[in-house]
Amino acid sequence: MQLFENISLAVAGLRANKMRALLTMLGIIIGIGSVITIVTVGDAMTNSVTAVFNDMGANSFQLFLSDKPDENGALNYNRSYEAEDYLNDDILSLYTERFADEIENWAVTVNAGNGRAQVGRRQTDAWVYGVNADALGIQNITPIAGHDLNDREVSGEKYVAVVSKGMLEKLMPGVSPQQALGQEIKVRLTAGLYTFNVVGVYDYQISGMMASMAGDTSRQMFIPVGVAKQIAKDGGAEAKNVDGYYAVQVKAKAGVDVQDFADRSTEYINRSFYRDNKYVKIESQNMDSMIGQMTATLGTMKMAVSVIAAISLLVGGIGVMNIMLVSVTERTREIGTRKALGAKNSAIRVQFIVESMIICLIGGVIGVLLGTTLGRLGSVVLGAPSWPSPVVVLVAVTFSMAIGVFFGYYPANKAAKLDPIEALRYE
Amino acid sequence: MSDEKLAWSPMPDGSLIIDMQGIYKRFYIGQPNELEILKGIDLQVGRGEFVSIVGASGSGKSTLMNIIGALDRPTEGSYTLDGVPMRDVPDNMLSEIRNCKIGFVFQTFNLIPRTSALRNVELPMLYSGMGASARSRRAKELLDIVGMADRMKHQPSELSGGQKQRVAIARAMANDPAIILADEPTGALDTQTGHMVMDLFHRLHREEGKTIVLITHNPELAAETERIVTISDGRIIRTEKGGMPRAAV
Repeated sequence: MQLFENISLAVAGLRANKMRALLTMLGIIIGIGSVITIVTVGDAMTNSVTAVFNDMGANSFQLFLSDKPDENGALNYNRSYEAEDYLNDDILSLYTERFADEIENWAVTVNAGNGRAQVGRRQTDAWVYGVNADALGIQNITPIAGHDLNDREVSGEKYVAVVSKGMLEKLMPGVSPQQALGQEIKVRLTAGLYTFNVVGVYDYQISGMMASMAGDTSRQMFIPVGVAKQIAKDGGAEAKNVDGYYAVQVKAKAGVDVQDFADRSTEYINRSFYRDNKYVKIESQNMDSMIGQMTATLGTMKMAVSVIAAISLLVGGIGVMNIMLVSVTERTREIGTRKALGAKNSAIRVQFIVESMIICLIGGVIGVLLGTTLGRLGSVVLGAPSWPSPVVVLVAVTFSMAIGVFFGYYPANKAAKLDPIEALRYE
Repeated sequence: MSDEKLAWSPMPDGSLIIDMQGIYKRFYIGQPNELEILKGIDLQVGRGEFVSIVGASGSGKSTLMNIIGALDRPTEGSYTLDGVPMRDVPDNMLSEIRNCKIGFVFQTFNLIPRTSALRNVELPMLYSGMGASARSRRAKELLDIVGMADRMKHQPSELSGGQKQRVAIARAMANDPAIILADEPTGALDTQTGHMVMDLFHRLHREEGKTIVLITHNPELAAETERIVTISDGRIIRTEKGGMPRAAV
């Protein structure tokens, strides 16, 4: 009953001092706003990173070249890789045969260069990559028409290609993926004009924040790895850098312990092929551990911003306490009058605590709105639009009210303990 | 001499609202300094009386008013307000006594800013725990009695001095207190408005049977009341019959 009176009184007081109220709330607004923003953006990032990594290769790991430290433990940064340092077809065939029971499939990639794809007068950008047979499945690229590059095409070094639906729409508008199979696409690269027959069409877009890192996936065009090597050499690339592979991606069969298999793979390749290499060894990284690392990094970031937000809330709370003390002093006569009219100390205390709570609550709500807007903007920019969770909003609003009670108590108590005679006499 | 004065103490219906016996008030400003403001006050006010307490500044009348109004306690002596002995009453009880037995009217009105006249009048009833609709009904009645019914939505800043004081008087009557305690109620008003406020007190006294204690330094105002109690240096030096008609302006 008195609560409603107190609330309307507090609101009237705030409206009479709008600028002051806003400035007082600023600390709370910034604190709550930044918490909501960072939690929203952080969650969006975590979700999208996890989704993308799961997309790109659950159950898979990468084997890649890594520098061996010398006897002093130092790494030689100036050295470039030689032909014997790279992974090559021989190593990979021995490795994949030995672990055939555990490998679902594997993929190597050779960049043949970027150029322009053409059909008739129509042209579009094309990034040409050489891959081994059945490699696209690892990255969850599944053809919607035709098939992935098969063993016959890859080992026969046929001039065939798997292209994206997006590229088809630019080169052959109105032609369905099914109709496009067998059609010729010419690609102009550094060394000249190459012609490929379309054997597969895929429709794949990386979602979320990784999209900006991966670029427009519709430009990717996949050809047999041998053909890509030849084209790269035609374009002037050094043979050693084209024939060898810097990395290989391996997808384990279902039920295989990925981490353990990755460790055994590394151990086998290092022991069999890199024992005598003074400079280079093989390391592995699986997607799960990468997700773990990213999540941990995001967690640390969230923590850091939360600490800043907490400091901002503390400073905001002190600001509220300060303005409440000013308010108590300004309204000494009013407090005296209220006491003369029969207000108990507790009634005065409640009145000022409610006022402080209202300031913090309004600040908190504005902060939530600000944080939701910024969080939404941030998550949209990152490509994973999301809203703050209701729980976070509820906690933020409750917490801001708690700040009001905590920092309002001291001024309210000061008001409650005023001597009515002194207060009435106050000028 | 004082015995003779005290003997004259009209009590229309035979009951005392204020009964003070040997009231002393001392302030200790660190030993051995002791400031004795009230030096043995005996004062009785009967129900339905209109009494004025007159004295120069520094005479102790403000301190006496604070004790009458349950804002302060005497150092010594007994004070019974409307049958309630005020000795050893805890602070919270003092709030309740102020709330339901005393109606304050101040020199500077002391209306709560940014709060409508209606809400101001409701305030004592709010603190006594009355329900919202009963509060609002009673406040409207009271504002009607003081002639402010058409201004009840106005805030204090939108009212003139005389209007503010009328709202304050309505507020003082909210919980139907045993006494209305008015401290220089015309002090901040011009003569004419002051007379209007005094007329209102006379009307409340006459028509509503209110007990009113008026504290003033103005002998002309005091002369209008039924009884004039004069204080000097912490003692009652004179008690006279009043009721003089106001001198024509």
